[in-house]
Amino acid sequence: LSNTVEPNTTDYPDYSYDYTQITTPCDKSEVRNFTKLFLPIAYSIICVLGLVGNIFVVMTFALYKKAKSMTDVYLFNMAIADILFVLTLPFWAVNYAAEKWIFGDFICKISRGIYAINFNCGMLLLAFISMDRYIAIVQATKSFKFRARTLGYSRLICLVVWVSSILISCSTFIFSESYSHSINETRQICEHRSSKGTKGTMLKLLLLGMQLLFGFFIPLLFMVFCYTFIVKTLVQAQNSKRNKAIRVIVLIVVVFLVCQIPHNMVLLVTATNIGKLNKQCESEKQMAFAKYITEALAFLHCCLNPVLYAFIGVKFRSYFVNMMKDLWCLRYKKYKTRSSRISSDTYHSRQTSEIMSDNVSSFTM
Amino acid sequence: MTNFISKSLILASLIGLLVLYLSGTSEAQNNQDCCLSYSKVRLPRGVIRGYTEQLSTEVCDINAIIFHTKNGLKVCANPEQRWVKRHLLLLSDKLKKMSL
Repeated sequence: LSNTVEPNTTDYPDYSYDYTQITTPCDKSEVRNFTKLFLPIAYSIICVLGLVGNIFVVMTFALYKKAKSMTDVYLFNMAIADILFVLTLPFWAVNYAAEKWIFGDFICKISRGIYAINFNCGMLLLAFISMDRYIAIVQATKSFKFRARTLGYSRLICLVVWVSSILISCSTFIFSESYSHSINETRQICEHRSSKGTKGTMLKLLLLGMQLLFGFFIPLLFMVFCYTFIVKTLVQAQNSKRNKAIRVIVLIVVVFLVCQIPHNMVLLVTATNIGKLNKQCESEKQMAFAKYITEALAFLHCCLNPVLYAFIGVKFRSYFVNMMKDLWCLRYKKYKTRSSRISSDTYHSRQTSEIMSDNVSSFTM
Repeated sequence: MTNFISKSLILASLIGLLVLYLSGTSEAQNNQDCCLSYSKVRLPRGVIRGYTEQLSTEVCDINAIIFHTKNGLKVCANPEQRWVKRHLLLLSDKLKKMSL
């Protein structure tokens, strides 16, 4: 049965073809076997952790700590972006487990849209948080008078961020589709697709470049600049909490780097190779492995955000503890006690009138 | 100072708008099989059973014609080469005759 190369070709009698000279598509079944097991597990863990942490943040802000500072507004918005982001992960877990997209074209567009928007949105908010803390601490004396006004600005910025997030989903909708892949036509995939007239490679390169720039390099630049000046200011300041605050800043930056650098390096290497001919199948497979592992690590970042930004703050934690206590009371005593909340408010009222120690407290453990 | 802060905030939000408008999903690696290069030899017409098209506007990186041979092989070919075009023409003729 193996004999199928028929010698009856009259057109090219001598081109009985040499198997070593033909090129078959790069077989990535090894990668698929890996993603089939690894990604559903990783995405489930990230989804559960991300939901728990971020829902606590949203609840604490919604029920107890009315957003008072700019950072609060950003943190609240970031938690919502992270929740929306992790909610798309179950679809992808199923996609990789089943090795095909079963949810149809509309869910494909929606989930890819939300996935992209919220990931970039979260990154952008990280940059804004570092900028806000820079204004609050480094420009402390100057910014004091304008706190009320800047709170309005942060709402405006968040509004801009969200409105433009909805705008961008239009372009993501256009370039995402559920279609059957040319190699295995029976299976639907949910992937990038642009119309035939477009320059496919150029468009992909542009999208990848933008993701690298705005999903990594710009937030990184903001964070490095702002936190460097914050640490400088803190070192000069006579504040009892400063060492803890510096430690928290270093932690924030290190976690950002550890989670984001590997993934973005893979993206960078991919971007330099995009559209090139004669790539090696072996190295393509290794890059695909690297991409999926580092991507999961990058996604883990949004589970760590609630811990790094909200729960690490003394004040936020006290509100959170109060909320948990009240929920406990609601459940078991059927009535709500507000006394604990009042007492803690007085307890955590400013020991000093100095604005700076107030701002630093959002970093303290 | 208010001026400076408000200006920088407006600038930041403008940058933010631009960012979100332009950034999209990553089109990086994937776990799909793709043609990475083209066959160096010409396939005899008799062994070809059919073909599919790989487009650079889709999940894979380069344009390619994938010929399906009678012994179940998938062969990557350069859509710009003359022999490939001729094979495609012949295949489409065959299809036309079948549909008549």
